Amino acid sequence: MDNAIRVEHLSKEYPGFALRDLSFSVPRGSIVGLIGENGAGKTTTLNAILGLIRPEQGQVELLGRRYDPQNPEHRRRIGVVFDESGFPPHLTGAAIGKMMHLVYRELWDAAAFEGYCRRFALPQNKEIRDFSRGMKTKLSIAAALSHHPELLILDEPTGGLDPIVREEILDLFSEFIQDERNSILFSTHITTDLEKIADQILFLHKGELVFSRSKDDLIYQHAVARCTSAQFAAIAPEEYLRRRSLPGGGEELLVGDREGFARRHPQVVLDRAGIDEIMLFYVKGESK
Amino acid sequence: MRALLYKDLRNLRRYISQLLLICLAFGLLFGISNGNLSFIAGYAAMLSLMILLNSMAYDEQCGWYRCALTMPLSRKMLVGSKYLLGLLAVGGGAVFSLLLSVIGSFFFSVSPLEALATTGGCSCIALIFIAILTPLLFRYGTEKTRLLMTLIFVLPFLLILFLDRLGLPMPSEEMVVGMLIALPFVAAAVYLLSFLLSVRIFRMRLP
Repeated sequence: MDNAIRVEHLSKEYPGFALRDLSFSVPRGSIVGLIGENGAGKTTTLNAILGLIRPEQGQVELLGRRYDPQNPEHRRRIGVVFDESGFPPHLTGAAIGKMMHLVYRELWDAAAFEGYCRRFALPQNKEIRDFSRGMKTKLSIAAALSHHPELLILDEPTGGLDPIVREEILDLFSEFIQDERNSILFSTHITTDLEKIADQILFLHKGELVFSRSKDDLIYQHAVARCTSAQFAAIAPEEYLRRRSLPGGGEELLVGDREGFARRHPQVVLDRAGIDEIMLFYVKGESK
Repeated sequence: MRALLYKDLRNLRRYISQLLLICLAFGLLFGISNGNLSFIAGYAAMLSLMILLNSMAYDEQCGWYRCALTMPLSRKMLVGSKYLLGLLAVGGGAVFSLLLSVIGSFFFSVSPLEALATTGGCSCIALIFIAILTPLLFRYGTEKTRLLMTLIFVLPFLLILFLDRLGLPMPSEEMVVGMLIALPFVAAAVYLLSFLLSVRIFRMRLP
């Protein structure tokens, strides 16, 4: 399959933190969510992909070619949104549009930018220092989309936004992905957003990739088994992935084969496992 | 490059107009009222430094470089735009002080050659200061450089004081003229070297 992003053996070391041998890909036409607790390495991963930090090892391919951070041409088909807008505070929406036109030249679609600004009700003549957090994010997204990129890389774009704004933004991402050449890599810790739109989930924990799975597999095949100590004693270690002991006694297990487990242990209560719960099991739970 | 200059000038538009007003007020106060136009040339040159410093402070504050390096803009271009902004600011300051000299010439006897030499000299010194400060700004950021700046401004005065204490004779008029002629070339060479150094620093800081 054609990949929008291919990362191989990416490693970056900092005092007290290391990104270790990270390999994954983002297929074209898909939305891939990058999740992990604070400090798991999500932003470091995105920075390394974008060449904003120099990794000790590894290589990155973007849109089918080896990415060279020194070559600005390699960034013409990429749109990036960070959690901070990055635009100077005294520029107005209209001035951002003009500046971006001068940056992207013939690729810039001024009508599309104005359209996004209208859709998001962004004032054109207000300085962005007077914008709310949500408005700044919307402006960054409008700016990132208006040169018609094929790849969007988003670092916590919906963090700190209210549910209505998040919904508007997620709708826009869904529209963007209608063109099957387009792809999104989306880092967030608001996993409910990913449950709505992601195709694949990458889970980072302490700088390592714990899993890369299809979202549907994760949600429909995983389950949380809530069992008593007696029920737990009858469950073999290979039947579950992680476990958490409950303070009042009993065990919670993360199960990877929901249907099989339910057949074998009909008396155990099985609940749906959301991405949040799966993440919690890996971060806080114990292995077998 | 046009995009980056547009961004800086648009962002600093209000600040630059305020500086122009301050300059005009000082021009009227010191220059036109008592004929001391050399003060305005020096003051305008110093304010051009402030324009550069402020543009870099804004960039740092809003995380501009991280954002810019995801766009098709080269590192050399990002650094170069600051040097171009420095040139424009110094050039603008020079034009402004020359204009005040022209206005002043209606009221006082102003030697055009002296006005040109003063403005040119101050502009060259401002360029040399920018050349010293910009690599520091790229390396240490605006906060630390502001502290270093005080030291950099004080050093030449201390040096003059030290030379004076040594009892060295004052330079002759020919020597001063020679220095004034050499100054633009020295400033241009230092400015170019500084640009190359800043590009190197910026590449090391952000690969």
